[in-house]
Amino acid sequence: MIVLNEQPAGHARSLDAEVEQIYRETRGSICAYLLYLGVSNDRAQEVTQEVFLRLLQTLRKEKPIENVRAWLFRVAHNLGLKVRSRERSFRLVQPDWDRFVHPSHSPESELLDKERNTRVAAALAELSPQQRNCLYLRSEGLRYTEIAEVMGISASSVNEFLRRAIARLAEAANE
Amino acid sequence: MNKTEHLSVDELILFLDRELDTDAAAQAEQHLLACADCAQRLRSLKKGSQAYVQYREQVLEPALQVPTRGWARLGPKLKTEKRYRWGWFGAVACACGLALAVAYYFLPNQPDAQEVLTRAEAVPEQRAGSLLLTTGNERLVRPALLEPGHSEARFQHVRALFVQAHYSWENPLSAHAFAEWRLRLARKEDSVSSIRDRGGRRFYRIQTRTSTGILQAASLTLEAETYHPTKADFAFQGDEAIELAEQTETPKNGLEQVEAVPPAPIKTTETPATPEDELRVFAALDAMGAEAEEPIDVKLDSEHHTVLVTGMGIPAARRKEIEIAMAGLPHTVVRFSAGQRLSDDGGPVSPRGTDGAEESLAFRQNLQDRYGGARALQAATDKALDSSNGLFARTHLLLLLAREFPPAVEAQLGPNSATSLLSLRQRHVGAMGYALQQLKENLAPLLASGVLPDTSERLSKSTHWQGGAEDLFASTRNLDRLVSRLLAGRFTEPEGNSMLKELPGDLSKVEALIHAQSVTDSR
Repeated sequence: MIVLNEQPAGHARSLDAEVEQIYRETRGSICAYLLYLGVSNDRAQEVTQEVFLRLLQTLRKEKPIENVRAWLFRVAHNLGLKVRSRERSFRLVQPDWDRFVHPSHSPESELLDKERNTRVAAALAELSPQQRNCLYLRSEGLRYTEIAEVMGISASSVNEFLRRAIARLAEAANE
Repeated sequence: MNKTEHLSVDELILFLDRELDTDAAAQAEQHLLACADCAQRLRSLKKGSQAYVQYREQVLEPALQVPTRGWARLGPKLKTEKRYRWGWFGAVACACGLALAVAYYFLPNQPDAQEVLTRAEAVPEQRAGSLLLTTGNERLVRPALLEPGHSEARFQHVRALFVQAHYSWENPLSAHAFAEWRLRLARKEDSVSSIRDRGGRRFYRIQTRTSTGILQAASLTLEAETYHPTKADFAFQGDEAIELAEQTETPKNGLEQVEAVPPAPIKTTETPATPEDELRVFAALDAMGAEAEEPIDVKLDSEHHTVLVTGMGIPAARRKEIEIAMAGLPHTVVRFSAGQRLSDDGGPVSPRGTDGAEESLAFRQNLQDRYGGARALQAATDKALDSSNGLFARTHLLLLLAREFPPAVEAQLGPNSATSLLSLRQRHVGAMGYALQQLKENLAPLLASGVLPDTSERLSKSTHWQGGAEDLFASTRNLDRLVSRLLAGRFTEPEGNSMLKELPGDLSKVEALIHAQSVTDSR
């Protein structure tokens, strides 16, 4: 049984259609999160496949999943950390200025954004991994309780991590 | 929350993130409308949040390269993936209870076909070089990858088969080609085997059979570590089996014919086949639902270092299925011959119960009376002969195992193989017990007291189950002959009465021997 928070009442769809849609909508986010955790590109692909296979297996066993998106991130988080710990080394994702493509064609605007992003990157570097993960998952649209579930911490801890992180980012952004 | 006090950073962020409950959010909103200081702090925090979002969009995400290869097809796969494993389990368990237990004992935590294919598709493809295509007596080499539309006269027929089956001819030795073909099948049966080559490398072999389409069965062998496909086998309806395998050297000028192979079906290998190889063959036959009554023999051919699978008088379609099932197994050679099935003594099977004796109508009437009429007797006869036949066939399978795995060989088996052998034995013994029960029920009107005599004390006590299997086979053969003659043969009344007297003892003996098998330790 899948219970989706966003699922309109009475809108019954087949399990297959649900899974297919979840896959379509979430696979990119899951793989990106694994890369963000520092899992290598090849392994991130494998782990992402593994995450969805586990979803399929869980649903086959008719185990209820109340929040599929949070469940997927939680499994990805756990598998990702496990895989990363086995890898000889890992490197957290660093800003790649060569890939920076600014949406506007204004050199001034681009310069300002680059400067701001540089400050944000510096501020992020000062944060703890948990604070950064909370930020990332929040920007994925997860609620505090969902982030707590993914990371295996309390919602109040999430609140605390985000408070400090956003306050620090605000300082950087307002410099 | 007191709306007259300034909002804390916590409250501002919770408000920003819409994490406050309705009442608290309403109070915070009211306060923010009235308090310029808090509104300014909120804007500042919002800038921090927006800065992160912008950073993520402009800097982080480009660095998080999300690969897409092979993924677009996972969705449709998940969509078509029913609870196949359990459906398959149920079907097989209900039908004959064979395949899954073997797969389970051989392959603990064995992935299913969908899992293996999904993982294989996720691996970046490194296909290059050429493929060796074997069909009939021909061996041909072609590039592993062909441009779409590439056509060569020599391959015209094979290519047409692949095209008709919707199986990629351009890149046939790939998980994607197999998965695409499999995905199209409305009805299919999968199995996954784990095998090792002589060097100890482990492989998965996915087999899919279908009753729809021209391609009736295909198997794909992949390296277990890398999911790299190394071999594929195809059974097209009405055609020779086709094998595709990796070839290290690339042909210089497109497609190239290598050699015509003389019709020498036995391939010798450098290292000898082991009992484990033989056991894999038994398990593969079991997994593909080979019936006990099928005239298939498996033998370890020490002279040629192979496991020899032979069959006589097997229909062509079934032969292909067996060839496909055996294709990825090491040291295994399959040889079929046309003709009549031979009896255990090597002679043709003779029709039962035609010994030329003058039938006693009085005895026949006696049987009909016991069963309550001619029709009831006929129905019971059919069922009893079926049960007896099934029992005998199962005993024969157990005997094959006993002869192929004598105590000395069994003692050398590894733990997994020993478990598999035990599993096979237990399943045969279980099936025997069931067949015997059915037989007894159908023969009940012929058993005067309904209680079988205890013959267990008179049985020879075999130290090993292998010895008991020999006794069981002999006793079951006697019982089968007796039942067949009694119910469907021609004989005089004294002969009939004599057989009726023998029947309880023979049944009891078989029952005791089956029981002895069920309690014999595997080692």
